[in-house]
Amino acid sequence: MSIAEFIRPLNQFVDLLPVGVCIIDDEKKVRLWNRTIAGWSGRSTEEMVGEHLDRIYPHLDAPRYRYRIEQVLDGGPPAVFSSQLNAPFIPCPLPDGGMRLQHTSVIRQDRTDGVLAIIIIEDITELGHEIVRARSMRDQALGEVEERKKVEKALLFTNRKLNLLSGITRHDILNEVTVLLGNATFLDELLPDGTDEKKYLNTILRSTKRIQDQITFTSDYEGLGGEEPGWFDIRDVALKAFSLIGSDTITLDVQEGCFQVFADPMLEKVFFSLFENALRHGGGVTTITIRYHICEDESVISVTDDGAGIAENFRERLFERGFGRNTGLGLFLSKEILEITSISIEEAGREGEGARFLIHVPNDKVRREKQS
Amino acid sequence: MTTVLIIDDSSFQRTIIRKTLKNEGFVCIEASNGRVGLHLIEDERPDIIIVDLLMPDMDGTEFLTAIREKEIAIPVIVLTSDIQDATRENCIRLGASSFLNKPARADELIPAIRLLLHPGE
Amino acid sequence: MDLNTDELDALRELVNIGVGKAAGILSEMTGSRIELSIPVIHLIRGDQYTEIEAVLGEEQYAAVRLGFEGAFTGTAFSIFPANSADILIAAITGDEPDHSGSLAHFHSIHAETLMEVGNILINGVMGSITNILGTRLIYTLPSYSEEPVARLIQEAGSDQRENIIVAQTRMFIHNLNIEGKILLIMGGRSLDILVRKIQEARD
Repeated sequence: MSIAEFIRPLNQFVDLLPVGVCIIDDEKKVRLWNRTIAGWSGRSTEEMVGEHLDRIYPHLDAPRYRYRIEQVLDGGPPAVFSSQLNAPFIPCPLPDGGMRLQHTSVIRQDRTDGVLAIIIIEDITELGHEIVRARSMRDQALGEVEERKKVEKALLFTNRKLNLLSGITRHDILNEVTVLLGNATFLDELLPDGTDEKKYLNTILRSTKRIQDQITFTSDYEGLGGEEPGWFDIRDVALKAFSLIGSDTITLDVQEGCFQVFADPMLEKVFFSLFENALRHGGGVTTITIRYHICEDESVISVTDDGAGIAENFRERLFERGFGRNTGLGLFLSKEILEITSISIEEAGREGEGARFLIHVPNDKVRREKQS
Repeated sequence: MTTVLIIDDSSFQRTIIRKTLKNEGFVCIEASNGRVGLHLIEDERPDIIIVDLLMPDMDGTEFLTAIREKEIAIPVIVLTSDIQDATRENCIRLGASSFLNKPARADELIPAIRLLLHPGE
Repeated sequence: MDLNTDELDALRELVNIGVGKAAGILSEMTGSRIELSIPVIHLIRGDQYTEIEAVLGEEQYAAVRLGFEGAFTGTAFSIFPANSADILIAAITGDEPDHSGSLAHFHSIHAETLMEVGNILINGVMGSITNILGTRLIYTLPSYSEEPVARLIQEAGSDQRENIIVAQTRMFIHNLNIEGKILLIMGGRSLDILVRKIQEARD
């Protein structure tokens, strides 16, 4: 069958196909140009048939196309041209100014009077756009991770700076407070008892002492939130905090077994605060008991004592800043420390029946087995 | 009589080139790598050298460098499967007189040899 | 049948010429110089699975398949081991390849890209063989898959997988080490004809 006999019946059929079809002979003259490729390229069938394809599209004369097309025409296997490695085989502009992405196959067809190359062009623009969108999302996600890292670094730096500044400020204030206290004490010794002046001076002394306590206290909490949370065993932490209290009137009874929580490294201060409160304000505490309660949604650590308990009207305000007999900061900061890893604390005891602090820990922040 | 030294590690390739050249009346001697080729140059004094690039022991570029150092003035045709422009440029820079791609075609190889034997004709 | 030294040498040279042509095209496409190494040729019996595994391993390959018939009949594969395929994809598209199946769109584009690279290689080699030996073959359309070699071989018809010619090639693109292999799988009669054609080309 000759080339003409081959091409003639194809025309109607190829016009129905949703892919671009172009057939060239061994001189690269166009013998068939279907309706789809005509529509995509903007070049009509009448315009293209009889023309040399590489004259209309000179980029096809570049070695990477020419070698491979000639290899096919010389009897070689079909050649495929991917969208990633090649510019569009036949440039087909889109209404938005972009180009159709193409996957092109070039297949040889032998005829009695010559060789043909059938060029089939599939439009994969939509796939290409999805790739671009996916890449853009990936790049955006990577960008956000980078941003986050920068922010974390900046926060760390700011935190350090603040700590440094507040350290300096604290030092200066403490110095002045020491001078104040010193002079006020001398004055107190000079003033006779029962006078109004002595009464006012005592108020000044008490207040100044409180300032000193608060300043000293806050230095202990300087690192709050500055370090990464980690896993801490409650028994270990409680025993350590208790050792710092230095009490020989209170016994600590901690449940045996591994019970780890994911918390800020200042967790020890929480227990220290609870034990110190029991010692100072507990009203005759002799035993502090720590137990673990596992429930479906959360685990609860109970810290109970056998003291006088907490008055009803105090309970609501217990964790407020400035409330309480000393600095008013201990329980407030304890709550803050625990909240860093979504742990909450409440007081659920009864007046006269001892204090009962309940620390609520989400189960994903609890480990019952030691892990390396 | 013109003697051509064919240096290629493939005996198949050497056979094909030899067949092509014999038809034109050239005498052929063969070597399987650059090192053997260098020895043959001293013994046989060929008029033209055809050399492959990818060979064990001493490859084509090492051979080109060696004959330049020895100031051997015999024209060299590089005949290689490597069609990259950078390869061609490198060989010319190393002193190759001509650069052809495999497979060796008579209508390319013979005119290239004749041009080197009789420049200006 | 076995291939003697001369026959193996001829096949190596035919593959060498084909890979050289392919490298030239790939060099232009990637904008990078490509360093080639001398191909290594083995002939393996299609039913010698232990030998197949010893030479080709059990790993997954990115494979481009091309069927051919005419003077001789068989199946050609251009295969890349998974890590070479990944290096190639990363070098060409800048994407990290996804093997979890969750990034289906990326995978289609990567498969398309690998198919073209494999196609360029296999066409170079088949073109070299047919031109130099003066034969004419008819081909199927190339197809792409990711499979272990044993599965690929099974896809060739049972009477056509008696012999596997394995050509191992190495290319350095952008200083990256890309390992590729060409497999020619054919029956005994076809291999005889191939060998005879090689002999005719020599004489």
